[in-house]
Amino acid sequence: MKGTTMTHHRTRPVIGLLAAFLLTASACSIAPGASSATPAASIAPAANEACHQISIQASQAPQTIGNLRKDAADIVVGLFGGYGQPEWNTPDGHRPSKEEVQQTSALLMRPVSIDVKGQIRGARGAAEHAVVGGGQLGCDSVTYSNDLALAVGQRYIFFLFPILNSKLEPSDDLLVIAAWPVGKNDVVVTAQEGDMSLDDVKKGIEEGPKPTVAPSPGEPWPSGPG
Amino acid sequence: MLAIALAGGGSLAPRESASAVDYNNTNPGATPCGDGSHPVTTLRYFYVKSGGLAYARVELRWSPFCNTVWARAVNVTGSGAGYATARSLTASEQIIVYNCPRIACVIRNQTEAGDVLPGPGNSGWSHQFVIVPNGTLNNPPAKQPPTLRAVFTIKNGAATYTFDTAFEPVWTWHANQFKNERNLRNEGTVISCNNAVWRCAWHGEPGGVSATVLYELDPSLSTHGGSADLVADLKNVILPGWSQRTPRSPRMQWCNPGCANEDVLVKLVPAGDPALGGNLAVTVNDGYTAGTPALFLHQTVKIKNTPFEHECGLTDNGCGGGPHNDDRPLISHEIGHTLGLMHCDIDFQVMCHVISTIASEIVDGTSYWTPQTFDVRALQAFYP
Repeated sequence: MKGTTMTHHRTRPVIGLLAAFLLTASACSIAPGASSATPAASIAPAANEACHQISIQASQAPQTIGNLRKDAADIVVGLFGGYGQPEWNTPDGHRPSKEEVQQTSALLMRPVSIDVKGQIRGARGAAEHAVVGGGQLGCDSVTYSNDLALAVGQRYIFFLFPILNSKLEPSDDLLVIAAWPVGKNDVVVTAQEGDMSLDDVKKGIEEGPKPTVAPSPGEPWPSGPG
Repeated sequence: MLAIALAGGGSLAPRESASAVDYNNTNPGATPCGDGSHPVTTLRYFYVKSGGLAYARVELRWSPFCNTVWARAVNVTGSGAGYATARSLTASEQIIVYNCPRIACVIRNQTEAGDVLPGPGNSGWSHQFVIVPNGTLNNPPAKQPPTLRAVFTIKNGAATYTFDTAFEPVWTWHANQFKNERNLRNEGTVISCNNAVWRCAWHGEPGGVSATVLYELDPSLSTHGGSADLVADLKNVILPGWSQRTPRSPRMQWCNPGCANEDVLVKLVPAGDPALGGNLAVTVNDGYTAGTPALFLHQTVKIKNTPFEHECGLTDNGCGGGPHNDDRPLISHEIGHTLGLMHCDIDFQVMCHVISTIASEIVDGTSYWTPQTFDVRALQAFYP
């Protein structure tokens, strides 16, 4: 995908055999306080067994400049042009079976259109491979708890992170792990550090993580009444 | 009410057991709840700032001894760089207690107005209230643990600053798409058992008793290269810590790789796993039953494969700050997700451990690997 077009080119390597899990003899043990019972999950039928309904709860480290600087391989400034059609991230794009959903990392991904205006780190062309997780395709849905809500036409700093495909093989996809709006006068709305100038954000990325400012030792922490 | 910090902080022994006394609408500083004779926990605090400088720290305070909460404002002027120069402030502190995170669920409400905080360290506080029982929200009803909120008005001469802590803690069932960050919340669209994509989901109470949840421990858990034994931690510490923690919350069982019919698979994955998406860990829910609330069909806990150590020590007495590579708080947090608990925005819990600095409203606070009081309250609400 280039510029604001919505065509997405994903490398589709030859499908390799998934390394088999080491299957050892099954042996269950009960945690203290537990007793044997039939798992509740087997009681009721699925809402719609033909459909995949996947939700992902992300436990995220605070998105500071320091943390994102460590994680993002490519960082660009650009205009968000919209989302493309969701695609399964299986090597050949096929819809996964229930077993594949459970045993691999099969997910729906959406290409993201970015009209790149500036590059802070990595390759300018990286934005052509930008994706976000989640989407709806037919009756299948994948939803992330930390889904990005991007506004078409808004300028952002995009932080891009290289990801693998469903079988954990290399892919060209770069996941947008954060997008900070850039407003008038180049003021960036950061996730943790408040409003900063675009230049200061660039410096923070280039020069190293900004130290977290802890409460100063002199700040009063009264231990008395109330 | 005004108190000069530190000086004469009370050391009275409790006059009687907390449960025998009604502390509602009383001055915490005049009771064993807040007179200094028992520990007080600041569940959440924020900085009131103007022009980039901090004037006051506003707090939601909790007495474990009395199970009461109140709001406190502290004058932090004159504390150094990033703070306003020392000056007198006046403050009003409002504490509001709800049995669900909606304004309509208000149970208690009190405002203490006109407290003078003459200099750094001086504080003023509201009356205190006992935390109320669980409530429900919406139709179909979503059980909800109680929620607290404080509104502060800080006056600096002619300037007035208002600060609303918003609802704390907000616990969502499973994965309701609700942002716990104060500035990102939209209480109007979430927290209901409506079985939309984001829904209330749990493991149920078959026959009215605890469900049993089976965790398969993948061999990858032994491949991280650090000194921590993740399998042993899960078997001996984390799963027992959550297992039937409340009378009808699930029992936790584990099984070796390849076991049949596991409910949850726990595994390490490379950093580039698309589900992980740059995070430390995720819980992937890949199926639900029909019904309201829905039952989980299968989940996978994916943990970033990075060397794990036991940096937080042998005792679960709080592991402060980050980043660190202790597996126990991280994995325990994910196990909480597998039971249906989402995040919240207070400190000192397994599922939420955030604090503020004068530079940032949310940074890592102090985490635990054993469910703490407010974790358990949420579990109790969701598995009544």
